[in-house]
Amino acid sequence: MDIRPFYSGSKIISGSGALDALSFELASVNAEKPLLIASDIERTAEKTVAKALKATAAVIGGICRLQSGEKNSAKTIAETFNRFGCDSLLAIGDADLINAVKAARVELSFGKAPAEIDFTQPAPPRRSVPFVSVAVLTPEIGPLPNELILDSGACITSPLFYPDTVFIDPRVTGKSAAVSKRSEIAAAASIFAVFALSDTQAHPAVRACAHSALQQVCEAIETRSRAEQTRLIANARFLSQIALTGVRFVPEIALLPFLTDGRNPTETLKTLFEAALPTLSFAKDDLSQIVIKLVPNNNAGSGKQTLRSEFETALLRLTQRLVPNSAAPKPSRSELFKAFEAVKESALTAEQKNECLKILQIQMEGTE
Amino acid sequence: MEILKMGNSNGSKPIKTLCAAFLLRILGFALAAASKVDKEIRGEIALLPDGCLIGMTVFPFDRPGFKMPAMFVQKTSENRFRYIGSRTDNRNFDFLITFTSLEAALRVLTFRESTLKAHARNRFTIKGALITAAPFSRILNKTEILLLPKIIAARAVRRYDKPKKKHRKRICLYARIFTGI
Repeated sequence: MDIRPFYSGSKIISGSGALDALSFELASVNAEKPLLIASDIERTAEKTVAKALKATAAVIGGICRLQSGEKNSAKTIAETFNRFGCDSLLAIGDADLINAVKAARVELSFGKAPAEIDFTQPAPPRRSVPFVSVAVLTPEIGPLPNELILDSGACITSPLFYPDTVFIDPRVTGKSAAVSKRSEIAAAASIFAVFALSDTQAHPAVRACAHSALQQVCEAIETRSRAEQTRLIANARFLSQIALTGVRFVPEIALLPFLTDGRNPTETLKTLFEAALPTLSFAKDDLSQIVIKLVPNNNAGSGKQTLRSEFETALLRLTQRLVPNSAAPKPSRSELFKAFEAVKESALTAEQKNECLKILQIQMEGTE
Repeated sequence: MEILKMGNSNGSKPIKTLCAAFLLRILGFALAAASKVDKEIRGEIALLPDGCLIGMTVFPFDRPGFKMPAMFVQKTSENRFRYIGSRTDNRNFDFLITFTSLEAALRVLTFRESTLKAHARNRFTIKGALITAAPFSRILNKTEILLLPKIIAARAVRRYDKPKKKHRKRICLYARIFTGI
């Protein structure tokens, strides 16, 4: 029997006005006095969240503003939490901040630093510390919701790290500090979605999330409204994160052979897509439509062309960033276009359509 | 790093609160009036337990020093509803609908979103037995059909069943709501 588990331990509340229910959701996880932890650069997002809490006369235990890359932030959060007598953690910020909050939560729950705990067989926590996160747009895809990066650089994966609830509200994502980098985020989300799709052994829900992430990116490329683009890209980023949590290999490790053999970024990207696509036994027609949209179209109108070229440049930047040796030759736009053409050609041979609907149907009706 | 100590906040949305309170009040009166006007509704009320207390509130209804709109009705011995008001000391609710926020309540009460869609979108939570929920949901649907024009009521209910003598009942319903008889 083929058992493919899928676990995403967070309740996700997304959409316009999602934050209106923040107070209610905090109460549902027994959080009466949350400590608000925010990145120093996400002041607007912090104000929006504080306003949503004040509208229902909710109590905020305290606010802890952290700068990006600040040392010992987990310890600071834990100390502030205890000093103000808070009972829950409410985090708004980038990957570094969320990582620090996860570490602080472990420390508060177990009374030990994360490095001292064996997460394969953890003892029951001393107390429960609810953790609610408000998503902002950040260029980093990782660490994933079930990952914690220690100070030593080691990465631990455990279902204990999932936030209890995640809010994705356009009022916050649209005002994030990294809004200007949305094309880069879209590129990263689409690449990681392809990674998730390439794992043929993954749970069908992983494929559904990855597929939806790609669709959201494509819709973002098609739309002209900046707010809509940001909303779609925020969703794509989050969906690709969820998809990656269900993938059995770590993407960075999968990338490693491509990065170390001295190939240029275009080749890396091309190999990546080419490696992923033949393993897909589904939805290639549908996927091909997505890839066609992703392919830079030199003859397109000026409105759509702007984001297309932005996206192309972002992919270029991303592939360059992924390659540790900056001396690697920079790919030209035409080279990148050829890489996408290759992806498009390999994707066009498929037959099945509407894979997401099919997956949902299987979920509803059960499998044999 | 910056650390700020916070305390109780008392922010509010007065206009939205007023609108939601007004709409809940109308609904409370309408439920009471409809139970007097319509025989079918009385039949549904008969299925509820005696003295059944039903409420519709907006979170956080119980937070001290902070009032959110609410509406309570109670079953009487003649199989009718009695509108209690927006506050009650009795906390033994047989059935309680809590809207997650003022915005969610306004979406449902102004029929911008159907009840089913709102439930699917987690706009409200329900506390109570199914045996109470099912008749109350039918009562609510029948009241909305009597209260609203078809074009609006069709959005609020799942299936629009035209009641007998609809217009006569509607006139009686509005007369009872506005006169309080």
